[in-house]
Amino acid sequence: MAINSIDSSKRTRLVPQNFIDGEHSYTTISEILAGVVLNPKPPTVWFVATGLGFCVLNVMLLAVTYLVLTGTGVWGNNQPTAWAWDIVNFVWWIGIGHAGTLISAILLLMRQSWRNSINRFAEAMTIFAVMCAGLYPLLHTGRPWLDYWLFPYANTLGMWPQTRSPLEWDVFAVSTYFTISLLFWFLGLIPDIATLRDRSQHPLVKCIYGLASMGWIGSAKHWFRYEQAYNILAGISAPLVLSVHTIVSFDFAVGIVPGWHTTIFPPYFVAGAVFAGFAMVLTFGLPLRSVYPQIKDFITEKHLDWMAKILLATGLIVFYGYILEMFYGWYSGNTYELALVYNRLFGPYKWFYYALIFCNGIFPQLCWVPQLRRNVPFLFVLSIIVGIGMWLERFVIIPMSLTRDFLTSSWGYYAPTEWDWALFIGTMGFFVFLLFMFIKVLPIINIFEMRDLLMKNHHQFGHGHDGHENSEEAH
Amino acid sequence: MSAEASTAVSSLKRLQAIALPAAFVGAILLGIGFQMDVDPGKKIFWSSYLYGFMVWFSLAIGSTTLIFLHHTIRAQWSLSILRVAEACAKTLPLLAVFFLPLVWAAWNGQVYPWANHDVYHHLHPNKQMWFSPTGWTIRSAIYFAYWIIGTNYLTKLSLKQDDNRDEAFAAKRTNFAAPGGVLHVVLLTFAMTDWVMSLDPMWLSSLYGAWHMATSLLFSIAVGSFILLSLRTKSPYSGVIQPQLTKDLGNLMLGFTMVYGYFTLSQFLIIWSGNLPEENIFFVQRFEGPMVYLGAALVVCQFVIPFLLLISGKTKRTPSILRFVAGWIAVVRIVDLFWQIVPFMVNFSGGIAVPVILGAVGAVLAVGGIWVYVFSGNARKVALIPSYDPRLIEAKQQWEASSHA
Amino acid sequence: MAHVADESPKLFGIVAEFDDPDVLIEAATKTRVAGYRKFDAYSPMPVHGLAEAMHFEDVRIPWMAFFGGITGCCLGLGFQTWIALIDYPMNVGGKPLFTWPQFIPITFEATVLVTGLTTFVSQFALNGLPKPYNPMFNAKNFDRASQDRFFLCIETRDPKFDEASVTEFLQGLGALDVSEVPA
Repeated sequence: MAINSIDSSKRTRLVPQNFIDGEHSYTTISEILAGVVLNPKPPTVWFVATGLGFCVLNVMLLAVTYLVLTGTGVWGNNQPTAWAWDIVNFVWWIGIGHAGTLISAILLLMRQSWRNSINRFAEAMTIFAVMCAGLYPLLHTGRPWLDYWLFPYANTLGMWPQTRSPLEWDVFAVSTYFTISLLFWFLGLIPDIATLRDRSQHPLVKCIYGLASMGWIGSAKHWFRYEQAYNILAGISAPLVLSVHTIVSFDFAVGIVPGWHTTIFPPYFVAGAVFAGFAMVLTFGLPLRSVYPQIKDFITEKHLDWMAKILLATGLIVFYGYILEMFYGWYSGNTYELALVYNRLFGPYKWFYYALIFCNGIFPQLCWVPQLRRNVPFLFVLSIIVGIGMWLERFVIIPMSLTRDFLTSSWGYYAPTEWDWALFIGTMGFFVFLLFMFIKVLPIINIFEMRDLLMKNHHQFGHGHDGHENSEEAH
Repeated sequence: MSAEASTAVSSLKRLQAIALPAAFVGAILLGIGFQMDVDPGKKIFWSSYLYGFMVWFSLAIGSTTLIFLHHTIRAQWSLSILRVAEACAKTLPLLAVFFLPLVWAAWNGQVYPWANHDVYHHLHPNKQMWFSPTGWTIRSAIYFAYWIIGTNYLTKLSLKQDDNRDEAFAAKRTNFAAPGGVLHVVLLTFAMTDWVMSLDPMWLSSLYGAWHMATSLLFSIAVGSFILLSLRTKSPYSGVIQPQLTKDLGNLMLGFTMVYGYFTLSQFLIIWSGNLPEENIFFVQRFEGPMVYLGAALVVCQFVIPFLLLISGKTKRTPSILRFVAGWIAVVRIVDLFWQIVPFMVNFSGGIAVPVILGAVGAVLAVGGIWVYVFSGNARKVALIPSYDPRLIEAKQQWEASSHA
Repeated sequence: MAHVADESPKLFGIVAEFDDPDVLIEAATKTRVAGYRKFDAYSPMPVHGLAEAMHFEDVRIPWMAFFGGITGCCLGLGFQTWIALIDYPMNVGGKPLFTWPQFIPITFEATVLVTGLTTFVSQFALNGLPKPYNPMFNAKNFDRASQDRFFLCIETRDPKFDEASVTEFLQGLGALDVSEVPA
């Protein structure tokens, strides 16, 4: 074998990949990405999607109105299934949000430069998903106009919320998560809003972006403190995102209901959240790539490959959790745990369980095939299947355990009502509507970080690279 | 090339020279502990031995995880300590030999309660099925065989690539390490269930395997960093040490310190809140007598102190401080394993008895002396920095170029 | 600064425009070496090495975040302990009143929340933002400072400032253009 020729030609796989395709300069990056927002004529698909989202959003408003006027009895929840779709959907939505924080904070700390082109969009998803999620527990209290009771404030009753309860932990976790995500998102947006301010022509638009940009001028001293703050926010967001889904898992795990009380829950919930969240990033990111083909240079096939790999890895952790749940249920020899194992495999909801194993355990294994990881139609189907699978996971955990209580006299069966459906589908419309509104007013890709990436690419690969060059001394 | 005196090899030789005497001292201490142990089942002796085994096994298996992880994601983070991890994992056959007394115990009704006929017949049929000495021995053999073969394969390909520079080897390693790592995690979970969790056959925690995986990985990273930072002035480490590298190692330790805190807290909070008798026995045993203070001290020493030290940028820039933190983490890991394992078999409500201390220290030294002898022998035979992957050397050159500019 | 000129200067400074971040770093280094102190560089993205080139250092934000974190932690834990032990003691599940393991989640969230808010607010406070009017907006071509151009401005506040010599100095740095910034 000719060793020397191998030496230089094959070493490329070890050097950092170039995550910007095509020839770009700081000018073209600003033009393309700001152009998506400032283009006076959005593509037709945008109108269709926003309109559709708006129509479905009204279904949500209808469902909420009817619920508030009538009471939570309009849902299928009833003893023994006091928690049902509301909690299933709460956990599902909030899990979807977690990918945004993972991408923006954890991958930033790990210096994964491929995150730069998807983080903005994923962070927006986080915020909208948390809004959808928050709706459910707020409505489930039954009297949402008294929801401020959830917060500790000095009141005439002389009482405080019970801070020993995981549900109160949720109040703190979700509200902190929403606040910090919003701050982090806004901080990341400021330099890009300044770009929009400087590029927009209409005086009113310029004025609005000007106010929102807080007078950002890009001074080196400002950048220095900005980066300090951004990194600190990333540093605290990383454990925060873990804590949020951990606390969500505590809602179940600190109780002793079989199927809820198991110590693997915290990491397994977090992995499941990231799994569902990355799937949602793909569900929306892939169509966006075809609606706005100009961003394909920034969300490249290499990005899709990475996202598929993360899906595979988190899917494996989730699958590991399923295996351990069943194994330790069997291993424990505990009557109730054994009954749970039996109920999952042969009970009335067994098809949900089998579907869950297929969607989250079996199907994502196709990601081992490198060609499929870059295959857009496959990834789209995969993302939908994973989204369904993660919803099923929460369904398997919640109503399946609750309908089989310790006493056979308190067994039951759960089925959702049309209002459960209306609210769930309605929140999807809410999410879609917000997301497309966001695309219209703010850049979907972080412009300044793409410039930063371009500068690093210049140092790494040299100016005028073709994307496949060697890293050997290019500065 | 620098002289022999300034290479890491000579330091490893010195380490090797003191290892066997340490093992000898340890064996004597363990012997005294054995003699002082009045329990007919020799529980103090056996718990000490299992503890001594688990300390070094933890280091080797943490290194195994690190190797699988490194080749899966080809990270730059772990590159500098890869060869130390490989040398650690190469001691797995030795550890398999140290495991043999435990196999003997399992067949003779010692150590594991389920190995005792009276206890066995009271277990649930599922557990009887899982815990036959035959099944347990076969499973243990599979675990060891897989780890030894898997790490040998990866190490061999990694060393070979140093010679022939064929990138195809890197692709081969990734193709094996990714699915192989999945199997490794599953086997490690079952191994911890079989070897440690089953010391109390009623107790279970589904996080336990993952807890051991994360903490052993932390242990391995800390030891690797400690060795690298101790020998930072000697070749080949002197050729790669620069602020970004120490920052990476510091952040790696910080990350896993947080994972340790997270897993430990989650497991504790769930079991403590549920308060079911078959589960909370784990913490009841560990809150007896002086062990509760040891447990509290461990949380402070293993989480609070390293966390506060490692969030500071100064620690990660200063090799001497970082070396101290790495050594600190490694030492606390050793003490934590004592808290984890020994209370399964020894009751601490009357305080810590002298034979327990003698036995524990003796076992760690006895197994450790021989282990370190083999480890340093492995380590000094190889290039401590993989030369096929030039990223570390390039990073150093870049740093030098920019700091002299 | 202690002594400000009696009449407000009509000039804010002299600005040089560049099209490459590496040239900007070099220019910033030369400006500092030449003895100028009141100058700043402007770029559309964070340029690593620029703050070092300007010898600019500020460690206040990490420290504020750290103390914010400690404050949040004490508030979270203290508040829960006060409720559970003093203000409204209640037996829950037969556990002791001071159920510290169950206080950890909210203590953690409070720590993160206060750290985050402190960091966010101190970033704006220390940068003097929001600031809707800035003389730099008057600089020629400055709308490209948020897009694809890099600027370096030596301000009139600088003790060494002299219009002619500064202009000449900046022209020698490889700038595309050197122009005046009206205040």
